[in-house]
Amino acid sequence: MTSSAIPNGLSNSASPLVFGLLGSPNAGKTTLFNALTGLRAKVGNYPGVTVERREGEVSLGRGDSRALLIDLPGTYGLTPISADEAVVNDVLSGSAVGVARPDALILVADACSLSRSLPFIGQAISLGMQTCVVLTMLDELAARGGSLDIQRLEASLGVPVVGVVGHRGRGIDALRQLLGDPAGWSRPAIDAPQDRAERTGWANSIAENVITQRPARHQLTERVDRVVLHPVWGSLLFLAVMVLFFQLIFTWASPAMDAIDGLITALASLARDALPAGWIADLVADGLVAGVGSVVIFLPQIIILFALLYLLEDLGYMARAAFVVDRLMGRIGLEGRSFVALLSSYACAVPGIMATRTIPSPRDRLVTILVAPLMTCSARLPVYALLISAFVPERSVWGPIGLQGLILLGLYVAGAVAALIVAALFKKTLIRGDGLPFTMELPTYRWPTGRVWLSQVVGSAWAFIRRAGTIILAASIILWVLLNFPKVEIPAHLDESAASAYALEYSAAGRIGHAIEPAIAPLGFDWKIGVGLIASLAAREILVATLAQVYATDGEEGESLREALRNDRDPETGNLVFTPATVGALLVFFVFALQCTSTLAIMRRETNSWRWPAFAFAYLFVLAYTASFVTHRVITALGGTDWVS
Amino acid sequence: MPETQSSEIRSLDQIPNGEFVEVVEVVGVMEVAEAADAHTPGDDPIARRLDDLGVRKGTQIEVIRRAPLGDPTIYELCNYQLCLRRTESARILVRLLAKPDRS
Repeated sequence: MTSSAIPNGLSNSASPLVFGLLGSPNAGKTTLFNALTGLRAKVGNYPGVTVERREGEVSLGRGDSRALLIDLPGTYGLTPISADEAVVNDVLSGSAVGVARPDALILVADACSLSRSLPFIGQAISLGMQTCVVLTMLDELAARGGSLDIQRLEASLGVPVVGVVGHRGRGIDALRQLLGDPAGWSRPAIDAPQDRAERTGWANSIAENVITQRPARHQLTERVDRVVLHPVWGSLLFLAVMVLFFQLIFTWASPAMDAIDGLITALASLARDALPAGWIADLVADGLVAGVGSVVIFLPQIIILFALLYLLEDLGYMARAAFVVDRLMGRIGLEGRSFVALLSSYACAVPGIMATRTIPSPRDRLVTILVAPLMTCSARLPVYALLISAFVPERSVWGPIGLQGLILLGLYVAGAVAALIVAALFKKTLIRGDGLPFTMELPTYRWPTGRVWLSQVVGSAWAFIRRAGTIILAASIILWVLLNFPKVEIPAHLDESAASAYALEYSAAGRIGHAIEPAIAPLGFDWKIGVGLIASLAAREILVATLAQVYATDGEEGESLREALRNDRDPETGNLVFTPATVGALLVFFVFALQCTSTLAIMRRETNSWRWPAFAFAYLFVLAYTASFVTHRVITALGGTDWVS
Repeated sequence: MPETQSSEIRSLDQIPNGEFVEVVEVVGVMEVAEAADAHTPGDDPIARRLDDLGVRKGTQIEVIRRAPLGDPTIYELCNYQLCLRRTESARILVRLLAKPDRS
């Protein structure tokens, strides 16, 4: 034992110890991190890259002393290929901005594939920091009939080695004890060779000495995979899982969302009753309560999505799903794991973008985030439903297939096709591959532990509330102000709905609507649609409620709004406002435009900068405007200035 | 299957399911592009990554199964399963082994 090599910082007892958790992506690093820190993880990003950064406090064996644990991004070696991978080296060398340099390293390795990890372990130990090795998955090693000699491994490596079963909490106390005194950890007399080939030889000789019985293949995994990855059954199962996944997010979330909606309405009227009538009551009821509501309304979808996602991930199915669909996604330069995120975006882009965390390549993840808003989310449905039911005749095209349904389907398909084309384009130009080869480990099937699963789901929901919720709340209040101020004198002869329409026209949003009218006139939109577009920045479906307010109709559901839209004529020219060309252009606009502050907020949170949400908003706006303009022109050229009755 | 199987060298993507092979060489991109001096596998990023994953000269690999659409393929090595696309497996030159030798 040599304790002479004490790095700087260890002797300084004033600041807490910092441990770095290093290991390959599937070594059980995250499970170990959770077991050590509980739910006290802080999640953020490393500066300049979209690599997730996790830190947490860990209580050590002795008394109530605590240390900081940094969960380093999973890596297979210390020779980075991309800027994103270089994060690990930056943190270890202390050159990462705002990240404490670890005082000591905890190397995590899967006991089953130890022979593969040994060169990496050797490389990491020779960095010269105080280091210990944690072997995970010892239960699986035993189940597969394998065995290894931990004492011999400790002797060969010259550093402490602890075996754990992270998800069962076994070995964690021993590890805590060990972490209490990193200065006392042994260091090897001689480092592993620096040369790659020599290091491989060094690793092989240790493996031969330490691994007393190599594990056999996991029998259950073997049997299950014969069905799950079967060319026919595997594909069918994949489709079934994806349809079910989408359905559950969509249908299970609806009752909860309706309940939340009802609760918010009740709370708003409660606030209105309690407070003296006036703009303060309006602010609390329509601004604050509704704003909080617009954050909470996402929770059912997010919780269900992550519950399913982590369940599939922990079971080991996610990697298999990615394997099955990889070739299709490979065509557009992405990989299998992007598929799940894009599919989730059909329900809502917010959970969909959060689901991109399962994509290991940061570039692929960024491209997936940027195109996710093109998938037709459920907030577009009310807009589509209003316009289609108001203007598209209920005519049968072929048997039971009607024109209305066909147009709705067309809008869904247009969004998905656009997402794939844009993704392929981005991968070819702006965000090219990082030169990383596609490699994916296929984990053995494992029954998830409820506690670990639950903490992951709760953690994700909480992260959404804290990081995106505040932005969404602020945006809803700003929009509320725009729609309600400044207050103007309302002519006395107007009835209630006409008064509200009058107030809206002279509000800031109404004035902006008038101001932008020349800009949106080429699309066939007038100022009233302009107000709707501004209001729908909060959430797309608000367009419907705003149009109802602009047209001074009492209900947004009823026939009156549709009637009003159909009969609205320009006061000067007497022409119809909603011509076929305008309706087509408006529908197309909503296919592309990123009219959703929640999506922008979650993009900000996931990419750690306003740059990418700004870029997404801009490119989608240009796309929406252009496509909308072309649609308007084409329909007009085809004679679509009036409805054929 | 040719009778003289042990001497023939093929790329890994050409090997059918169920066969055992031993890696002879991992061909890097740079070796083709930049010729002579880049001949050590450690210099090529993809060869280096494959090396980190255990795919290196002498590694024994079993071809497990292909995806329903024909790509990627699952391989077993170092007691774990790794999934590679053709673009990577085509760089891995291997020799067929007669029977499993997994000590």
